[in-house]
This record gives sequence, C-alpha cells and structure tokens, in this order.
Amino acid sequence: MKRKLLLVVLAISAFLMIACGSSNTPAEQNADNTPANATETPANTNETAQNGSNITEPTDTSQNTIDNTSTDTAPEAAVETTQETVVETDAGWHSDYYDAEAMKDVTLNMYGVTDTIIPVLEQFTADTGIKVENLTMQNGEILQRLINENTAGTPIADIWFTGGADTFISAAQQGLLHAYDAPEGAVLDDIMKDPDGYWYGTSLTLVNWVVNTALIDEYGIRMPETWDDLIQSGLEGEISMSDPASSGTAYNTVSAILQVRGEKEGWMYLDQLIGQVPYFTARGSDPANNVLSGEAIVGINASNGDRELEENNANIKIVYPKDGTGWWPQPVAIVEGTKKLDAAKVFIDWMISKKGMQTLADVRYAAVARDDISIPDGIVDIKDIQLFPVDFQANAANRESILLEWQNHLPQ
Amino acid sequence: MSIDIKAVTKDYNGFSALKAVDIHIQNGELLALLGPSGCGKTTLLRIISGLLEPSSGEIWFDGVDVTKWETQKRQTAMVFQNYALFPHMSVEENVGYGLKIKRMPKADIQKRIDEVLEMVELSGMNDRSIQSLSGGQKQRAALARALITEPKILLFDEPLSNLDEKLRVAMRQEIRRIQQRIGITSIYVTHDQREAMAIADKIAVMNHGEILQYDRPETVYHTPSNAFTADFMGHVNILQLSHLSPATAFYRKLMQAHAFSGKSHLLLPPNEILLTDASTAADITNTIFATVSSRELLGNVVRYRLSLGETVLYADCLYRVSLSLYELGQTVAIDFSPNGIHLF
Amino acid sequence: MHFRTPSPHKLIYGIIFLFLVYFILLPVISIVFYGISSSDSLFFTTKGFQNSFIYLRHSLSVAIIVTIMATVLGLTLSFTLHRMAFPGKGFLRALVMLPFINPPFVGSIAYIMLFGKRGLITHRLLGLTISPFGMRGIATVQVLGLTALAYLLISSAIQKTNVSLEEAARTMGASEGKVLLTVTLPLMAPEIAGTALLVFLASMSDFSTPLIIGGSYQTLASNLYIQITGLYDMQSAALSGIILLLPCFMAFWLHKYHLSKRSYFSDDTASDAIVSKALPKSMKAIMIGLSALYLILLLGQYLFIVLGALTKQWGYDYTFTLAHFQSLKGTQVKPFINSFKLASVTALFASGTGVFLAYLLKLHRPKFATAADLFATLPAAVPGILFGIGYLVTFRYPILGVGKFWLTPLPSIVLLGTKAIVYLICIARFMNIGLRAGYALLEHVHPDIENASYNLGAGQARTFFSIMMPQMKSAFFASFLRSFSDGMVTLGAIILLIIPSNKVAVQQIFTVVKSNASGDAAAIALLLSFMTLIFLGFYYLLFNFRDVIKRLKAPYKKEVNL
Repeated sequence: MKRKLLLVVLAISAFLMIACGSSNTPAEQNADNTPANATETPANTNETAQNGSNITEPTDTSQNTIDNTSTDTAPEAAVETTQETVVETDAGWHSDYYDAEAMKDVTLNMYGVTDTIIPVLEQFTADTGIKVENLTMQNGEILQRLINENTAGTPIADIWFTGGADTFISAAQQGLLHAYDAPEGAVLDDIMKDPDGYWYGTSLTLVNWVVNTALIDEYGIRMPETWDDLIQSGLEGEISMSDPASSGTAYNTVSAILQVRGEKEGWMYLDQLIGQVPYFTARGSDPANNVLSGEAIVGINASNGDRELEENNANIKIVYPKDGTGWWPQPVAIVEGTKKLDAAKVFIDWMISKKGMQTLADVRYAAVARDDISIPDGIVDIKDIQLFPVDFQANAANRESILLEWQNHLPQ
Repeated sequence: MSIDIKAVTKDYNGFSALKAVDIHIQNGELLALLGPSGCGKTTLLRIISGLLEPSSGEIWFDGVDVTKWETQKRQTAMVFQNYALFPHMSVEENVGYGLKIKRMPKADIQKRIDEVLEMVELSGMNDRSIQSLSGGQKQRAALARALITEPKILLFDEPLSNLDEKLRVAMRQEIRRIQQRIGITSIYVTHDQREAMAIADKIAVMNHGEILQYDRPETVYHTPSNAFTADFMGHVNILQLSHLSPATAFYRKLMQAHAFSGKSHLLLPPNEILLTDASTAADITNTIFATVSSRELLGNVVRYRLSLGETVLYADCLYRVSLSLYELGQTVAIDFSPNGIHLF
Repeated sequence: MHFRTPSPHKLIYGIIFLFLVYFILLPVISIVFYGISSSDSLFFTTKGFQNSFIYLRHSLSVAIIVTIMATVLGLTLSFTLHRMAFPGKGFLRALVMLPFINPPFVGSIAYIMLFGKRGLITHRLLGLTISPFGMRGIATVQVLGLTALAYLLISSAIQKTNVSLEEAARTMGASEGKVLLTVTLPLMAPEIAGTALLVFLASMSDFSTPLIIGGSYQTLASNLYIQITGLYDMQSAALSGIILLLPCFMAFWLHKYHLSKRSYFSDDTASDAIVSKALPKSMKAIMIGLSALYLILLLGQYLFIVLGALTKQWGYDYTFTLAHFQSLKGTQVKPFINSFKLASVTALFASGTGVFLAYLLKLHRPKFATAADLFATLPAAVPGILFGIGYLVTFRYPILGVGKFWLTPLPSIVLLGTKAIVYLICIARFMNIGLRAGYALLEHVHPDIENASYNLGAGQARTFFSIMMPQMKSAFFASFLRSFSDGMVTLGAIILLIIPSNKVAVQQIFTVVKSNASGDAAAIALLLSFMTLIFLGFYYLLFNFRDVIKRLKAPYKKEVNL
C-alpha cells in the first residue's frame, strides 16, 4: 500500500513540475500586458514595445531610420564594443545586439515549415551560442497560432523562418511581426524584403517540376522543358498539382501564368492544364509525393534548393521550366511580443549576413537573396532560370477574384 | 427412447475425463448420474446431447448409432444449472424458441406455450422478462422450454443446485411428476445422493471418469459395490477388513455371520446398531464393548461416535423424550443383526 | 442503496468535476461560439455551406461503410481467433493488435505504393492502372486500422458470453447459423453497438488518412485541417466542426440512451476453451477466408513499411540501407522522449481519474453524477483536431477570460503556450477510456464489498486503499495501456498546441511524410512503434510484477484445465 501511495505522490509531483515549469513563463510575461495590447495593429507596434516594460530595446524611433548605429542612443547599444564588431566582421556576420556572455544560455523558439534547415540553425548556434528550437507546421497553422498566441499575449515563437511570403505579408498586416531595420537589409533587393522591415527574404523559393524519369521513359513522353510541354498528350491524368485555394505553390503558379500570358491566353492555357490534372491536392507538398509513388509523372512543386529529392531518388529529376517560373522569397521575421528580442535580432542579422546566406547556400543548395556569396557546385543559378515577374501586392489583392474564376474553370 | 452408451471415452490434452463408459438406459427411465464435481458426469451428459464429441466409443438411440449426429438432430432437450434462459427474450419467447426454430405455425406455438406453461405452473407469466422471475420460476421456465419441443430425451445438468433446500425438494418432485407423466427417457446429473435416490429409477455413481456402480437406488444404497459409492451414498461405518484386529469380540461376531474371502470392506449402517448399558451385559467374553467419544443430536436421531479400540463406529438411536442419553466416556455394549451387514 | 461517502472522496469528486467542466465542457462550447461569432466567414456563403454538406456526405459515407466493414471484420476475427481451433492462434491474436501501435500516415503511403496507379500489387503484379485515391482508399486504410479496435472490443465481449445459452439453443434444434443469429449476436448487441459507435467516431475524426489518400474526396475532418492550414480560416473550420459534431453527438446519444441499456453478461463462463465445431463448412470457410485476407493485408502492409525503412528508395530501389535510421540523430531524439513522457504521464492521470470517477459514480452516486458521466465521455465524440481548436480558442485567455476583468492585479495564467496544455488535453481526452474500463469492472464488484470492509472496522482510507484499489487495479492497468499507446500516436488534438521545446515524435513523422521523404517517415514510424511496444511490455511487466516473479520461480508447475 505504501508503495502505491508513493507512486501516486511521485506522479502528482511530476505532473506539477511539468505544469508549473512551463506555465510560469507566460505568466510572468503576461503580468504587465494589459488586455488592450492583445489586439493591436501594426501601426501601434512601436507603442507596444514601449509599454511592455520588460522589453529593453532602443526607442522606437530607431526603427524607422536606416542608419541604426548613429541614432541608437539606448543603453544597450553602448554596451557593445568596437572590438567585438571587428572580430565578428571577420566571421562574415555582425550584429549590434550580440552579447556572447548574456546569450549563451538563450534558446530561441522558432516556427517554420521544414526541418531541412536544421543544419543552418546548427551553424547559427555554433557561431553565436544561441540555441534554436524549430517547430514545423504548415503555413496556415503558423498563422493561426500566431494570431491566437498574440491574442493570448503569450507568443511562443520568437522567430519565424521558412514558409511562403504571403503568410508573412498577412502576418505583418495583422501586427503579428516585429519590425526590425536590419543593417544588412540594405544589401537585399527591395522585392526581397518588407519595406518596413517586418521580414527579410533569405532564399528564393522556386516553382519547379518534380519529374519521374522512369515513367517518362516507360511511356515515351518528351521530357518537359516548357510550360507548354505539360499539356502534351500522354500526360493526361499524369500531372499532379495542388489546389490554389489551399496551396501557395499552386496559387503562385496560376497568378504568374496569368500575369505573364495575360488574362485570355492565361486562362486558355490553364484550362488545358486543368484537363491534365486528375485532382487538385490539398497541400503543396503532395504533388512531389505523388510523383515519388508513381501516381503522377510530373508534379508542380516549389523548393528552396532541396536537392534531397533528386539525391535520394534515382528516378526523380527536378526540372526548372525554361520559359520562366514562379518564385517568392523565403522570409525570416521576428514575432511580435518576443521576450528575447535582442537574440531574435541577432538571428535576423546572422541569417541575412554573408555568413548566414553562405551557409544556406552550402547546406541547402538554395538560391539565396545575396549575390555576394560564392555559389557552391550544383546550386540552381537563378541567372539561368527565367523568373516570372511577380507582384506580391497584386497577388494578394487579386487572390479572391482569381480563385473564384479558377472555380469556374474546374470541370463540374 | 432407449440409450446405449458404448465404451465412450473423452480425453482433454492427455487428461481422461471419461474412461470407457458403458450404460444402457431403458425407454422412459430416469437415470441419475451421481458423483462429485470433476467426475465426468457433465461431460457424459454433453456427449449424449451432442454438445461434445466423444474421443472414442458410440452413442446409440433406439438402436441407431447417433455418435456423429449434431446436437440439433438428436432431439434431446437440456435443462441447465444456470437455467440458460435467453435474457433478451420474454418467458414466452424463451419457451417458444424451440418451436420457432422448427417453423411451426404461430397459433400452434401459442397453444403449446400455454399448455406447457400450465404444466410447469407458470400460466399467465408469458410476457414477463427473465430478469423479473424468481429462482424457482426460472427453473420452471427452463423446464417448460425443454419440454415444449417434445424431445425424445430430457437432460438435466444439476438443475436444482442454485435453489434453496425447500424449493429443491419441491422442484424435484415436480420434475419427477412431469417426467412420469410424459414417460420421457431422462438423464439427471447431480452431486446430491438424496436427490438422486428420490428422483431416479437407476443411479450411476461416477468417479474419475468411471462408472463405479449402476443400479436401482435401493440396491446402490444398501449394497454398494465399492468404498467410494458407499461413502458417497452417505454411509458412515465403512470399515476396511484388513484393519480389524481378529482378537476382538466384534471380529468374532462378524466371522460367525459372513465369509470374508474375496471381500475387502464392510458396511454397517448406524441404525442397525443396538446400544445397551455395559453394566447389564451378561456374557462378558462375547459382548462387544465400546466407549462413547462424542454425541450429536440430529433431530429425530441421536448419533454416537463409538471407539472399539482402534476402530470407530457410529450408532444411531431414535430420539425420544423418555430416552436417557449415554454420556461421553461411558462404556456401552453394542449389538447388531448379521443381516444388516454388507460386505464387498 | 445508501453508502457513506468519505469526505476526501467528495473533495476529489469536486476537483474532478471542475476539471471536467473547465477542460471538456468549456472548450466544446467555445468551438460553437467561436464558429458562429464569425459573421463574415466564407462558410456563410452559399458555396461554403454547400461544400460543407458535400464534405459531411463524404464523411458519413466513409464512416458508415468503415463502421460496417470494420465491425463485421472485427466480429469475424473475434469468432475465428476465439472460437475456432487451429495452431498459432496466440500469434495471430497479437498480430491483429498491430495497428494500435502504429501512426496512421505511413500506412496510407504503404497503401498507395502497394495498390496505387503504379503500385507493386495492382500495377506491377496485376497490370492494373487504377487510382488509389478517393473513398475506396480512405475506407480501406481506415478499415485496416479500425478493425483492430473492433476486434479488441468484440473479442472481450465474446469471452464474456454465456456459452450455455448457445448450448441451450443448440439442444433445441437451432442450427449453428440460427444460434449465431438468434442468441449469440443479440446477446452481444450492446457490445457490438458500442464497438460500432467507437469505430464510427474514429472514422469521422480521422483527418490524416483522407488528407493523404483522399485525393479530391475530402471529408469534414480533413477539410477542417485544410481550412486552417491552407485557407488560414479557423473560424470557418470551427463552423464545419460544428457540423461534424452533430452526427457524432447523435450517434453518441443514440448509443448511450438506447442501445447500451442492457448488458447480458454472466461472469461464470470462461469460454476461451469453447470451440464451435459444428459451424457449417461454408460459414467456416468464409470466416477463415476473411480473417486470413485481413491478416495477410495487415502483415503485408507492415512488412512493406519495414521494407521502406530499410531500403534506399521505397517502392523503386530496394537496395538495403540504414541511411533512413541514420538521418535520425542528435536533436531528433528529444521528440521521442517527449512522446514517451506525454503518453506515460497522461495515461497515468487519465486512467487514475477515469477509474476513480467510475467508482465514485457507480458506487456513491454523487450529485450531478449524470452530468459528470456525460462530460467525461464527451471527448470520445469530439474529433481530436476540433477539440484542439476548442483549447486554442479557450485557453488563449487568462483563466477563462474572466481573470482579465476581475483579477487584474493578480498574475494571470495563460495555458496556451505551456507544456501543461498538451498534457491537459490528453488527460481530458483519454479519461473516458479509464471510465469505461472502470464501469466494466464494477459490473462484477458487489457494492456491499465496501460496506463489508466498514463493517469489519476498517476506516475510509483503509477501505479505499486496501479493498477498492486492488479491485480496480486491473481496470486501471487496462486503461493505462490503452491510453499509453493512444498517447504515443495522438496528433489531431495536440497539433495546434505543441510548443517548439516539446515536440512529439508523431508530429515529426507527419512533417517528414510531408517533406517527401517516405523512407525516413517509415523509419521513424517503425522506431516509434518499436518504442511503444517496448514500453508497453515494460509497463505490463511492472503491473504484473508479482505474477511474473511467481512464474519465474516456478517454471515447471503446470495446471490442468478442464
């Protein structure tokens, strides 16, 4: 009997430990947050930063200025020594907010859509001592969780890296992101970053085709090179594509085709393409899986380098259409309300630095947003690929009307 | 219908539950299978009903070998120890089940149900649920359900063991009455020797998968053929001859009346023993003396436990108000008629 | 009957009742309010409404077909494996349980690779080119998995049936078929209905199978997930969730108040040794054939998953490799530990509370007993992902949102974003397993046993710990093992609540499946199955420690069973 009692007591204490250990963090954090903060808009983000007494960062005016160091009069900026800066520049990265001693036990919580960038995160940890915990979800899940965690005043993630630019844009509009004017951001093209510093593009997510070469040979089909090759006979029912309503990949493809070919031509082409697709998958990752399992010969896919597919599967080839393809930047951003703002800024600085981008290119074979890095062998050179001109703002604005029209073109 | 059980055996993974059982049961007879639990009596009953297949041997009904017949074809009906009434059906549905299986017209079924329910004195209970019946009523319903199909053989598997003593006596008379009225061949499994004697035409005493004795109840009772049967029939004074010392008056008296050759046991019913006060004994050498070691009052009878040296005997005296009882440690003289002794 | 209810019991009951209201009732109500508070939702367009009903039709079609097939298969398997004599039964009985320890996604992939357009069996072997997607695929995969559940529930019912009732019918001339139809099955009707209900609910709430092999045939549950992840519209998701809840509640209510009223079990039969010898040959053949088909499919699927985990490219290049296992190193060990912790702790609490609640409700009949019973069993009818939404929208506010206005000076606790919320939702979800196990056990425990103990002078605590606890031990263990294996593979309920530092292994598999690395997914899945099995074995030994020691000490003692 005693043994049983002991067991019960042990169990209860174990549970309490788990429950308390994790619940005191948001409790502390929420203590100073008035409910009004829960539903803020991007416009008053800076106010929030001021109100939150636990956030000790430079005053909000610094965020709108490009030259960070000159206007930064906050105490924290003073802490940094020039010595460190020099050393870090040699390392290929630099952050004004980096404090090796204070940050060696910091763990950043990250949301993202893939685990494949873990080696990049490991390099970041090696360089900075800051650990990163990545939780992988779908784009929409991340957005929903950010919204609800923001409402609750308990942001779980500090940073958000990987995913579609559209979710980042939407999150920025809803005040879920923290604007940071990163010094290195100036190097990036305008299209690769948010004008207000809510997010920065790291690499290019390119729309491509995953092709099952074994089946191409078996059925004597011409290896597709241009978009028109997809509508050749022999590929009926053999093209897998996701549903533009629920997949960024497909929506980007559709809108890019419409932008490049024009409304009339575009829809005529899409009608033919729709005829080749047996059904539209729910998720952007499904077409590649369908090609892998032989359910389709060509899958419309999107990737950031991601050469594993080719490397691990002898019969699979990733093809970039010769006559242009859709793309979007793969952003990184700071989550509004993070308690580890400085470490998060270090992450952004590192990520878009030469070192970070080089790592991304080396590890992932991704086409990165900077052009001042050495391009490793086997990487997709964006200079060889014709990118469809993309207007992300227009994409977002036309979304509903395009999707509505899309419905009308589906076979009933 | 007569039943012949020919050299039936049943093995379970090397354990023999039945060892070459042979029985002939005449038409209309009620046979009681009597024995302790685990003796194989229920196994034998199930083999007769066809619920179990014998390992070897044959079962014949009226001169027809039915060993390979399914239970459904044998026209036996069974009454179970736990009644086995279908809880999802009413009394009437339970009783009518066997006829419904036979696809008898509804009106005929209804008529038969009413008849049978009347026979077992359950008239008017047609729509009652099984759960609402008392133990005795459940047993009647189970009997009615068994009888309605007019089976050729009725099988009872300790049907009364869940009832209390009084109800048990009443029910066994009822069963006997109905069985006699229909004249149906029946086999009745029980571990209660009084129940067996009260109800049966013949008793088969079983132990360890064997029939030890198979005869009329009074024969089995008065002249058991072995120590187990004697003991199981409720006898208390079963003596092993080899354990008796020849130098006693008791032994001499036995020798006068019976030849011991070929016999091993002696049965002396307690009511055959006559007790007298030892002090009144005349012939001291030929009087059998015993000491009272305990005394028990069993209603109309007083039972004394007597010690004759190493040997222990029980003696019953009819109890009357005027009777003066022997005290513990008192020496008494005993006597019995040689005819009351059975040697086997 | 009147019982003294010890005051600690009352206190604990109060706590449990509060837990039920706060962590079960409230989130479910929240879903409804959250859903209908969105007036501008896409759902309210005609199209949205129409679509929801299409998905409802899909859900119901799949669920009804799966329920019928899995229940019939479960019945067949139960009868074959418990009522027929053939060698290797023990092994087959264990084999049927396989789906309990495996996450579902990998099974779907295996199905596509075996029966797909270019599947190993359909295409390479039989030369067919048919699409595996759609209702047939969903139904097949779900039937393969849920038959195990049906088998588990029905076989335990079969072991409890009173065999002499069947014998009685037989002696009255009923053929084996008739016996089955008029006696055996009607007697098991409440159990069969209960099984069908659970299978129905499991099918209705399964979102991953339709997601992977539904093709264009999506169900309410999978569409709910797509609405959140693809359309970023959780309010519409909550609204279609309400539509999903309706049939679930209806089935639940129908079962609870109409079908499960009577139970016909007697506890004096050990029918494991009973063999129906006289079944007609045709019936026997059909039963054995169906069982064999199922077992072969199941085993084939698993062997194929093993193959996938150990070969270079699943379905294409069958060169042996351990690379898939090597890809799992370092940081990816943590999710496995988290899964184990989550499953163990929640199983302990859910089973303990569930069994104790069963004891309280059954023997002490406290106030609001009906409500407590209803609340505790409610999660069984709420699909996991919907329950997760309920938690997300409820516990994002500090203490119910009430604290926001009344207790401003106090530090308020927000559950969202803590590890605790994941544990709480699992406990809330699995408590009904313990409750059911407790009820089933208490059927055979006479209420007077407690009074007997009081009568002998034992105090309340002593009576509970030395008399009632040992009695309920077996229910606790059974429920613990079920909850543990469920906890190891649960995803729907926690997918919206887990935090980066507390990732679980199933979520990893789900992610890997998505990232086009099916071999890796198979490897993780296998590892998780293996781990679940090891720990189930470990817990089994722990619970039966004394028996095991006894058996080890006396290995040569054999009992003869009649």
